[in-house]
Amino acid sequence: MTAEPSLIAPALPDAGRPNANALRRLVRNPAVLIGGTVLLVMALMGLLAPFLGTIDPAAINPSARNRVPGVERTIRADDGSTTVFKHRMGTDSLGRDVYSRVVYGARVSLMIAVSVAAVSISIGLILGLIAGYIRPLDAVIMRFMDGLMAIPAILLAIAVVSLFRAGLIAVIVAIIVPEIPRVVRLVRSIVLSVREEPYVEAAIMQGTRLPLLMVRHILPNTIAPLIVQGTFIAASAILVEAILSFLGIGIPPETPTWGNIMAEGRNVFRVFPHNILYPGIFLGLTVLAVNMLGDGLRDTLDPKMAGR
Amino acid sequence: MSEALKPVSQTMPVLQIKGLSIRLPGGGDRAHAVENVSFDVGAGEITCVVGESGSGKSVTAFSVMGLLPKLLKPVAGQILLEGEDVLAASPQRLRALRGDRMGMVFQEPMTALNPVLTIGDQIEEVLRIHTELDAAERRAKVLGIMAAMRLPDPERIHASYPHQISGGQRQRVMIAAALVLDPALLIADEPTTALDVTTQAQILRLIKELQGRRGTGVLFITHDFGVVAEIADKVVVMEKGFVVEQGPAAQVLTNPQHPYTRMLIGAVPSLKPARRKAVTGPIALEAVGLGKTYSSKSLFKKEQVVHAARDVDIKIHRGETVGIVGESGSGKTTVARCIARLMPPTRGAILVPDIDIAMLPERRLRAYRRKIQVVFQDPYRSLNPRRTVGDSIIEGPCNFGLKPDEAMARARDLMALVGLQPSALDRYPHQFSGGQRQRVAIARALAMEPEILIADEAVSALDVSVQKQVLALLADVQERFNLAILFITHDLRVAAQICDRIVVMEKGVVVEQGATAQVFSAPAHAYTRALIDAAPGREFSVGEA
Repeated sequence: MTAEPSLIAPALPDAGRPNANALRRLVRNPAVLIGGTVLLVMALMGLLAPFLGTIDPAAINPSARNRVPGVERTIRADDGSTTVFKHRMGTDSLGRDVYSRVVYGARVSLMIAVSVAAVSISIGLILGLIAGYIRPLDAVIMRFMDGLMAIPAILLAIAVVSLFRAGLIAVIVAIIVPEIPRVVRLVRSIVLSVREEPYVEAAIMQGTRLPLLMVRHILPNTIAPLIVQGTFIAASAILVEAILSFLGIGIPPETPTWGNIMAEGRNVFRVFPHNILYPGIFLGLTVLAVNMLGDGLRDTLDPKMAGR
Repeated sequence: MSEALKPVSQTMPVLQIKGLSIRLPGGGDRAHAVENVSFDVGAGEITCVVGESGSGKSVTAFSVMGLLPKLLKPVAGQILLEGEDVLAASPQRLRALRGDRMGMVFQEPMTALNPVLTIGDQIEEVLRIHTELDAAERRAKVLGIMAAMRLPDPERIHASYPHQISGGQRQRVMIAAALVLDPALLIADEPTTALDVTTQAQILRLIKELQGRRGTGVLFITHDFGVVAEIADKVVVMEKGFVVEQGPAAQVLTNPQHPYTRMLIGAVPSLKPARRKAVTGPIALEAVGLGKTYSSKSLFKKEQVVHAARDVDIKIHRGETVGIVGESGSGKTTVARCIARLMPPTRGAILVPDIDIAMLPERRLRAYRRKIQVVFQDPYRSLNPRRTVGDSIIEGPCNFGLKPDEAMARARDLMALVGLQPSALDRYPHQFSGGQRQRVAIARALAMEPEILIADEAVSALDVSVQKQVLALLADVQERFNLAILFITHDLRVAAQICDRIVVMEKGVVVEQGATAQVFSAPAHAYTRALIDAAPGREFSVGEA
């Protein structure tokens, strides 16, 4: 039997991988573009902090406390030479330069955002795949997740932090734990619907073993929703870190984080609002950018959700 | 009603479509969804628009209702409903016309009805919008039309929700809502496609009787020539947006002029069983006393047990095709899935032929997986959209230790065998049409060198012309590989053409089985007789080449 010409699929305009155009569509989406750019600027700012005209963010100067933005000060170096330094965002109640602290603070916030999103999605993905595919474990995992979800995220984070010595790792763990159940639920619901797809059953009929079946036929369906979920987790992680720091139970106060700076400025807010204003602006911008990126990704990767 | 067959030129037709062209948005495979379409629907006349998927028949129906998606723009022509141009009507006027002068019945009655409103409310809504009747009068009128639809116990159904009544009853409700204001035109878009044959027969009879009595003009969209033969007064055949032939039903059906019409009619399988040679191969598979029970246990409810299949005995020889026919809920798919071990049966044995695989755990089952392969119903979902068809075809052989390049070489041969170009192996499923995908699915099944092929409604989602090609392909590969085929279908015509033996199932039980010719000529069980009687257009013998 030879191939009849009429049976040959015509080359369709969107030939190639189903997601071949996804990248192009992403770049065209204004939300992705703006959100991505702002985030990139924030990331560069954190990375290049020492070169952006900053001084040691932890250096205390009792003689220059609570200065308003724009005040200039002469700094004497160890060798006796002096330079004039301008406190663009003023100083806090210990005389530390707020501008330097805000710039360095981007490092902690972004690191927490990325690591929390990555770890909670990895753990949630594995648990979700297991819960969705292996029936007997479903009830066990999901009831445990329900239990976790029943506790308010901030309370749970405070409880976790109080178990360890306060520090970056403890804070990251504390933020990850309450995020996991949300990821597990998302992955599980996708697995439950995909496992009924005829192409998954066809793979079972082809003798594909369970691990390969998961990786090859089920996992790819979870990637787009997880990227989107990841951005929302990142935004919430930045906020939760700021809240924990603001409450004074997060990262030690000498480490500059946006939450710490605001916590520090809280007592003198009515007289010197800049201590809260500037880190607040950066925090708000970053969270907005991450959320915009997430919305844009959702609209491009999952067109069904667009316009809602 | 026979008067309706007369030309209705004396009076003005209810619906006149004149030179209608509707443009498709750019980027499609053609510029117009329909082009220069003209036909009439007379009062008391049923005009059937027939065509395969993509022929533009539904677009035509939607444009009459003014329900076209915004992307589709009528660019030329007129649609005259009792002389009034619908295309030029304002949205307000269209709303007034819909329901009052034209009613519509859709394919899927479950989704067309609102699940949170009672049936009575939904029919009454039409009256609330279009009439000044008070509540008591509306209720009386609704109960009246429901009785005319032969809905049992109208009072109860009036207060029921859509999920509480059967599919056939839902479709009757839809027709009741469409006809309650006595419109001049009823548009029915594949109204029986989602229904079982016996229900379909009742609905067709009902539509025919009602429109005859009320003098309603009916625009009936269908892909099924059996249905056309059953009810049409006039037939309009569409292909790729053009009307290729139209005329009185008897003339088009018995003496089609256009090659496309001839091809379509020729592709409809005949109800008269094809002559089959006797099968003498050894037994490939035997199911003994197969049963599948679902039970819903919950803490606070009494356990409910559903017997999806009970005491099913089926024997298939090498080289033989055994058909399981039955309506939805008959358990035919359950049996197929148990035999394929996509689900474990509750009891019984599946012998292939010397070992019982009914209860084998997945680990030990694996060796037998390659002997039994399945071709699924929906070719759009049975191939992983993220993988090339080549990867899908070689997945099975590679699982059993074949090297990828050897498997690919085999896949190339298989592609040629199923009538596709071997070079298409690195394409993705969305680049193939439905029929081509089904060919790929068959190639994938054959790559495992199976002994038994289960085709679960494998041609039901395909157009008749494609269906014919795929059936021919199945017959061809059966001969080449001496395959035993278990063919699950609801379509008696298909079963008559390709099955050596037929198993008839009803409510989870086998009610009759025997050689195809015997089952069709002398059905022993009442249910089999009902099924055969319900097959649309059975007096009309088509497809006998």
